[in-house]
Amino acid sequence: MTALLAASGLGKSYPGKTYPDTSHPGAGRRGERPVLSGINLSLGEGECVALLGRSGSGKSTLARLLLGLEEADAGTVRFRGAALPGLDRAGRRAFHAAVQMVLQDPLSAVNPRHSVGRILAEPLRHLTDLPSPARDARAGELLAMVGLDPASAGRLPGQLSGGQVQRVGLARALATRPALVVLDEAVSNLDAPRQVEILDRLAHLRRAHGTAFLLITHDVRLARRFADRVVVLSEGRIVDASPCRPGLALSHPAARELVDAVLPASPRMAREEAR
Amino acid sequence: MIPAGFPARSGSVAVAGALAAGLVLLALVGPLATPHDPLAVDLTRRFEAPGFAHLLGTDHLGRDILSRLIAGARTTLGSVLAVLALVLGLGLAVGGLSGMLGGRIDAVLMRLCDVFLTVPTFVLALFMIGALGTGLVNVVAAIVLSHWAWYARIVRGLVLELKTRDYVLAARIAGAPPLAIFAEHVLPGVVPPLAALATLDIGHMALHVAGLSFLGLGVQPPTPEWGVMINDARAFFWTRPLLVVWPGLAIALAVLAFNRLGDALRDRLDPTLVAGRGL
Amino acid sequence: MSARTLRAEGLTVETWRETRRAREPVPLVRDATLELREGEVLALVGASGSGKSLACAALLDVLPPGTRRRAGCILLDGAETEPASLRGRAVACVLQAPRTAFNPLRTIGDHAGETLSVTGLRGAAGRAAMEQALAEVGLGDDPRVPDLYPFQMSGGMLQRAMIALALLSRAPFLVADEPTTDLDLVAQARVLDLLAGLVRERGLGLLIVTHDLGVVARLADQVAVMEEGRIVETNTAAALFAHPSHLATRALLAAHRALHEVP
Repeated sequence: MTALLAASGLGKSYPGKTYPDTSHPGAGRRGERPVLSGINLSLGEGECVALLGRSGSGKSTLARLLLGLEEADAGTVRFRGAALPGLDRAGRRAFHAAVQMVLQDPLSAVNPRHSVGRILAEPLRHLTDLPSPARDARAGELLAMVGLDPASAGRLPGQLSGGQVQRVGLARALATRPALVVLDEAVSNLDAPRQVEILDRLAHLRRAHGTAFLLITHDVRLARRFADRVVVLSEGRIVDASPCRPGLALSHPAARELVDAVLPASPRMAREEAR
Repeated sequence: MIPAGFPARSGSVAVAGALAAGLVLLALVGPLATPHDPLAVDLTRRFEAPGFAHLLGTDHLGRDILSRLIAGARTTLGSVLAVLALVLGLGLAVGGLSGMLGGRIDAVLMRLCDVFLTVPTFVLALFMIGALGTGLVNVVAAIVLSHWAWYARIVRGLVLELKTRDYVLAARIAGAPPLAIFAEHVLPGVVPPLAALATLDIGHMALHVAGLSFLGLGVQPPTPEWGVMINDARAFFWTRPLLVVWPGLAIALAVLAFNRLGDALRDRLDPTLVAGRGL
Repeated sequence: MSARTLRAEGLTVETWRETRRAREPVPLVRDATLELREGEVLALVGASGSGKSLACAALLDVLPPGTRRRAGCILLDGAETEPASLRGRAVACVLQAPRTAFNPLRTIGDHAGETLSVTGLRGAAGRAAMEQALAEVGLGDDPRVPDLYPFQMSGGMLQRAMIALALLSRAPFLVADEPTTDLDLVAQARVLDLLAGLVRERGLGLLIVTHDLGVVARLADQVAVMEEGRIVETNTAAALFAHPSHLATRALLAAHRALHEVP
């Protein structure tokens, strides 16, 4: 079976200094800063994978490469078997409709001048052949799907709360009925009640539509709760991987560090740990 | 939530708006509404004081000053609007291309801008008029050539800044082609500050047109124009100061009105400021 | 000497809604009372928009434009004090976004000099104090840190540097508004370890604002829960986790526990 989205030997460098540049005088002065190297990752239809890593590990860059927003220096991304750079116009359109992303900061990810309805219609206008009335209907449907009042289609993002705008961002990503939604730290910075709510909502969508998800996060708890398996990224390389059930079995030091960083569930556990 | 505590200055904006609208209206219908023929010379009625026959008096050739002011509004403001339209068009096109495309095209266009930015308006105007002769069209061309690069730079800067916004990335994810991104996400962010800037510049450019005409390089007498009127009146400044005061006042009022309007536009036009982000 | 205390009493913060004819006050924080003791960690918890950061800003007298403190007073060791005079002397603060809290054009050393000028330490003594503070937050190994600009440092390092600057003021109290929200979990755990150590060793009184009950569980002695601008429950951390009484607390706890469950 061909994978929905597969990366093989993916690498990416940015021009500029490496951090901490002062510790290697001259080392990164004019050189390339490698962000990703040798990434092999395959996502199946309907599969839910968590990409786990610290900030600066290259998670967001990988997401951009997978979405074709940037070009890799090495390796290829294949969408249902076809290499991304080789796609023709129609192929690219089908790819963008099938692979969507929710960005981290909800408020800055929507144009403050556009109404919620217009925000939701944008992918429909560019990626589908729906006529205008059908787009409006779909926007209403999407709002209901993420638990927002369909009447909010006429409002501006500034008139909604942060949590509501995050749901608008999710609704936009779901507009074209994608096969895969990438969540780039889109859940990590919410408070716990909102995290639980949005994860439950996503789990429901997954059951109802068979949508695949790539959850990018630094929080092991979110990965464990939501994903089928986790892939650990550290310093631009995949260093560990494990299915989530029956339990995470991670051994790489970078992975252990992330597991150990989870804060205690209650104060008593905190004291016991201290002892 | 709207942070409270803006000083209430809507009154002065209304006055400025009314004044600006009045001036534009004069420029549009003025020649039809002049009480006298602005070009009619009557040497028997030179230097008449303001009165019923001539509300603002007459000049050294006995021409009605009010009529000349009204007719001059069209020349001065009309040429300013022509300058603005050209400057904005060129600035948006060059700055937009430069900012959106980047790379080598950006570098070439910006070096071109630098060349134009190094030449002061009056020097360029003198050069053009020396080469092409005096006249309003050449004055307009000179002002456009010495100002467009400035606008192109500003547009480019705004485009570059707006391009890094997350919502532009989101639009790319939503499959929007570059032209749609420019039209729907970048341009609406460029227009409000640019409109405010252009409005602020109306006064500045009116001064350029009047200034070049005053020097005798632009509009030629007897065509009524505010700068020309001041130039004509200069010789009689010590005996008939009012002749300088009327066109001077017209220029000052136009500059003030459009400046105030520009300020207000800058404060108001951007809905992101109005909708607010809450706390 | 008995332990020093910092007490905010009856803090009320409001903003305005412009209506057609008048300005209508909108309360954001209502009658909030907080007491912070030396050597103790008080956590102020609540969902986003509950007013916890504003209550904190009111305590420090750094309310954002468009809001104002309507009522309430600040007591240092029982005596009423002007909040502005406490900042940098009795109370230091650490903010959520370290990247925006630093001037990008100045080095860490420049920032330290600015903080030190409040305390009157200059020259070699100032340099020594800075080195000691950087060592205390774990940035002492690299002698180049004082010469680094903020863009050359990671979020976790910057937050440490901000804590070091807070320590330089020698203030007995530290107010930290969501200090780890912008950090990844590993950096968060290290910053929290650092704060816990400072409370233990220096007897610092710490007020930490957070939406994460994990942070509370890790660090706090006392907890105040805020909802819609009101403090709805105050208790010791252990008691609050064991017997939450208010609905808002229970909702927060339920979500917190759900995240720890493995389905």
